[in-house]
Amino acid sequence: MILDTAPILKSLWRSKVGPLLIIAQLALSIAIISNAVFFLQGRVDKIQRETGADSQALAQVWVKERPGELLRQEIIERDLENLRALSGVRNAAAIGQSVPFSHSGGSSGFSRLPEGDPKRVSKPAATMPADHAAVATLGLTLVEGRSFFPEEIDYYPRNQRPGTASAIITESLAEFLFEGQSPVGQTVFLAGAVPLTVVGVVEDFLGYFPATDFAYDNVLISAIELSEKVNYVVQGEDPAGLLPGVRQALQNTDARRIVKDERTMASMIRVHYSDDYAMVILLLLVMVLLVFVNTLGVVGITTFWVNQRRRQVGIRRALGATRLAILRYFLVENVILVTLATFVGACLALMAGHYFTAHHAMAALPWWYAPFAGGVMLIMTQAAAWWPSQRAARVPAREAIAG
Amino acid sequence: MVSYYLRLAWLSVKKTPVLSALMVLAIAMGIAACLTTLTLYQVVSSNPLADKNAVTFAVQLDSWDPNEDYWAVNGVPEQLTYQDAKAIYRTGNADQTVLTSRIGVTVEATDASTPPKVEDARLATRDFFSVFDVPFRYGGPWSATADAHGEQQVVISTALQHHFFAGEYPVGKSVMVEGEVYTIVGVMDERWTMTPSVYDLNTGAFKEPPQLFLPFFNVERRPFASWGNVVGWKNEDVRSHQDFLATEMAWVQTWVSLNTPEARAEFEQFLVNYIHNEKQKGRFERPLKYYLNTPEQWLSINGVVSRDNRILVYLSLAFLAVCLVNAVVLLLAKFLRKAPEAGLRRALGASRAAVFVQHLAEAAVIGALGSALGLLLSWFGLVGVRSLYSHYQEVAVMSGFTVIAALVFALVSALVSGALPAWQVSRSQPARYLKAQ
Amino acid sequence: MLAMQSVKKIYRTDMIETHALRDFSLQVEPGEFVAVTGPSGSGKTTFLSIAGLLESFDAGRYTLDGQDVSALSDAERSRLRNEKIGFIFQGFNLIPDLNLFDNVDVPLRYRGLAARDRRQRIERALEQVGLASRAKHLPSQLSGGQQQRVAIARALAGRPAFLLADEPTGNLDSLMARQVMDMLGEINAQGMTIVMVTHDPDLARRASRNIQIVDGQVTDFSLYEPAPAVQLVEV
Repeated sequence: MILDTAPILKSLWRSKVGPLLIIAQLALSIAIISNAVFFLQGRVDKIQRETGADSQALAQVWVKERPGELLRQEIIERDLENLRALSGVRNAAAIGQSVPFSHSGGSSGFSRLPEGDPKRVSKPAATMPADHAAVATLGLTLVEGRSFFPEEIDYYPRNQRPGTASAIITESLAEFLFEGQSPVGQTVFLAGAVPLTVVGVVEDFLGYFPATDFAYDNVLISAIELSEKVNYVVQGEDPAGLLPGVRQALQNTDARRIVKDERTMASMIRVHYSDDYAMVILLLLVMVLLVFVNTLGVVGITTFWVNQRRRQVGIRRALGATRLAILRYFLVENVILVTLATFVGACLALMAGHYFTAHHAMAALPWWYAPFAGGVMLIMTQAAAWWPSQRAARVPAREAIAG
Repeated sequence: MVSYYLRLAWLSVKKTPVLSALMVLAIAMGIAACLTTLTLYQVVSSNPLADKNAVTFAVQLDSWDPNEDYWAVNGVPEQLTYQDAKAIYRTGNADQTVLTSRIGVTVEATDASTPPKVEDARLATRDFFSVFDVPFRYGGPWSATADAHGEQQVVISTALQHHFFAGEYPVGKSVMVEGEVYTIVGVMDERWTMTPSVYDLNTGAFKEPPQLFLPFFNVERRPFASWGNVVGWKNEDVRSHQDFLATEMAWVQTWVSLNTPEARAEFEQFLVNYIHNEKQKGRFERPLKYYLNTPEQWLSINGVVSRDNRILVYLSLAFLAVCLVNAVVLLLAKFLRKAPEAGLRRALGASRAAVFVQHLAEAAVIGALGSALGLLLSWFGLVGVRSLYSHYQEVAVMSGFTVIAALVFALVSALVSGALPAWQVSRSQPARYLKAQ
Repeated sequence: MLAMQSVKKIYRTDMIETHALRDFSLQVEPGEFVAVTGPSGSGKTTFLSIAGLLESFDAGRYTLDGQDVSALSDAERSRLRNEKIGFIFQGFNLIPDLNLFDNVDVPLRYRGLAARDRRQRIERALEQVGLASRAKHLPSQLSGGQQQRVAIARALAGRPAFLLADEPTGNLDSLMARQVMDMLGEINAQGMTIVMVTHDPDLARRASRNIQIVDGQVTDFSLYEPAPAVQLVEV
């Protein structure tokens, strides 16, 4: 056999402890890396999912009137006028309660039938009180129907209920409630009690709570409560650059009102995913370090084996082995080790994956991750073994008789 | 003899500086990874109320929708309705009762000399300060009467004291809160942070302490903007603040102290009677259910230790295992290269045990260097964690205990990884190595 | 001093049994200088390993300085080796990283002697071999003959019951070999028992008694008069 597998296996078997340890190390690493890559991929997918809004162009801020005073429709309209007048602002809208990615806001059950009807099926969704400019400002894509008309917006007094209001719902919710029928013109019930007429359907976008099951189920409602607080969203080419002007414009009208938390949507998204970004960095770091440590180990053990077998190599050279054959001997040895380690590592990886699936409700690890990690490890360790192996290949034949 | 072995070890380390450095580095990286994640884990999994765990309880009552389970934690809302919380305060028999809720308020000086600020605040009954060990810099909690009547008194933070009354004694002075005059009765010490914030886990377990405390029953008089969660299930006609207080909306976090088992039994009896009573009024339509959670249980059901925390610990332990196996491999290679010397020492009268200990000492030297470097690296690791996770700012700090534990751990793991190679080399037959080289 | 009776040693591998020593008997008296010779593969090395307590044997009886060593544990044999036997090897076997002082120190360390006692013994031993002034040098800074003298100092420092030498001049040129042999002769003259394994009949002639091993057995007892050093035939 040209690759000397049989003698290599025999020699590995004879020294046992060293090869077993290096296999254990490689296997463990392959198991860790394959699970880490899998986690990593999940996180990257999550971070990269579509927000459904024009997130990179948005900034938001909230305003609270001075103590004891409530907002009025004129104040909101004047604020929006001032904001739209700022250079760089393409659009501005008022949104009650809070904005996407803010982790606070209201949610409620939505259904086609009112409370009391035994056939009522309800689904939780985020409620987003919004004015007529909200769809355009957020950059939502209408797939059916229309946006709100300005005269449709009901600015209702605090602690009261809106009168008749319209709703724009996301595709996910539309699909759940109407199962393919057109929802436009139909009625949905908020909490089984408040009827809303659906006037439009928008593509899915991430709402207040992107981490929940109803992340994509959002309902824009054409009614804004005149409490002491309201959110404004502005759209522009450079949202970060707009922030000082936005604050100025809002504070100028009343120095004693509170203007707070002006920030870009991008920064809110970054904060929202900060744990995921951190996890991505840590997982990458672990993988790089693992490969590095294994490279150290392979260089160390191969160097040792080469030194140990200098005489043997000399004899082989004296008996006519080419340098290439010697090089191949040590590299094939490494291939055998990594291959064995990949088998063991795949078993370990699947066991670990099984554990995570069972105890931490995570998706199952696809089988091919471990062989893939083994392949990467093979390339890295071949490179690592190259250096000591080619030193072995340069052992002169006279070592055989130098005894 | 120990010093002799250490000297030999040091000679040997110096003789192969690259290999030794690689081993030290590998061990250090493993130790640093573990130390970093374990420090983080230790902090997020700690119970700041451990000393009161047996006598302090978060109260949950199942007043939820008869048709559908509550969606979070243990299937019962984390908070109580106003009417139930108030009943526990007014007619309950607990040793201490804390009703509390997170709000945001506008604060300004009484003479309007500074621009108003919005601050993170809490409505709370006065037992909050003793149950959650809030230390005072000046003054103290408001009186029991002020507590029961929801008087306009306030406890402020040291930061607010500096903002409004730089250097002056603040107790007895006033500030405007939401446009109303509140009298300052106490200033809490800035040392007070509770990590995790057991008293309120709804809006994150790692947050700054509030800047103001207002007597809870101020809410009876007027609304405040909630900065916490308000959850409801029932379609109720709310037209005023008084209507809101009477709803099935749950928003009041409720804690009680029950100092003896008897007190606990009596309080549970009170709850059972109360729920039966309310059932007759048509409330509490679900089967009778309530929970008294210890702080430890509360932290657990609220999932303060995240899945990521656990995964990172597993990952770093596995990484350490790889680093240690790597150290074993390299030590083995190194020691076997020194086998002739070990054979000679055996011939000159060293017992197997002596050769074993000599090599173990070398592993220990490498382990000690590795753990020292690992400690340094983990300091950087924690700096990294702080910059990666915005909400672990004050959290990710190493304690003296973790440092010592880590050092011991590193040394033990180095000895364990040195044991196999040292054993192997001590088993080598002396005669084999003594013929001419 | 050293008595072997019917010692037997068999090396076993999967396939082959090699009888390295069979029914091997030998008696060495205090003050003797015995040379063990024999062709390669005769069992010399096995004899040396067993005599030096480096290996166990399968049958027979071995008494060292009045003590039966057959049933001793590895640790006890190590202690005995340390206290009773001074080794001198063909390849010197000095530890390259340690200076001469520390090399001579090695067996004394395992004896557990006090620091001052060790220092006296080391200095005296190095003086005896004429290398006291080079105590801080590393072995690599010495010639082969000097290295072997350090090895002799190391053997002597432990004040053993006898010296066990394995081809002590095998790696040396003739001049150095003569110096080393002179030194061994001197040490013997001062009363030290020496057992030397060699394949070189000229060296063997300098011993007081020669033993030849063939096929693991003692075949020949020939007595030689100890020859004065000056009469040593050049090799």
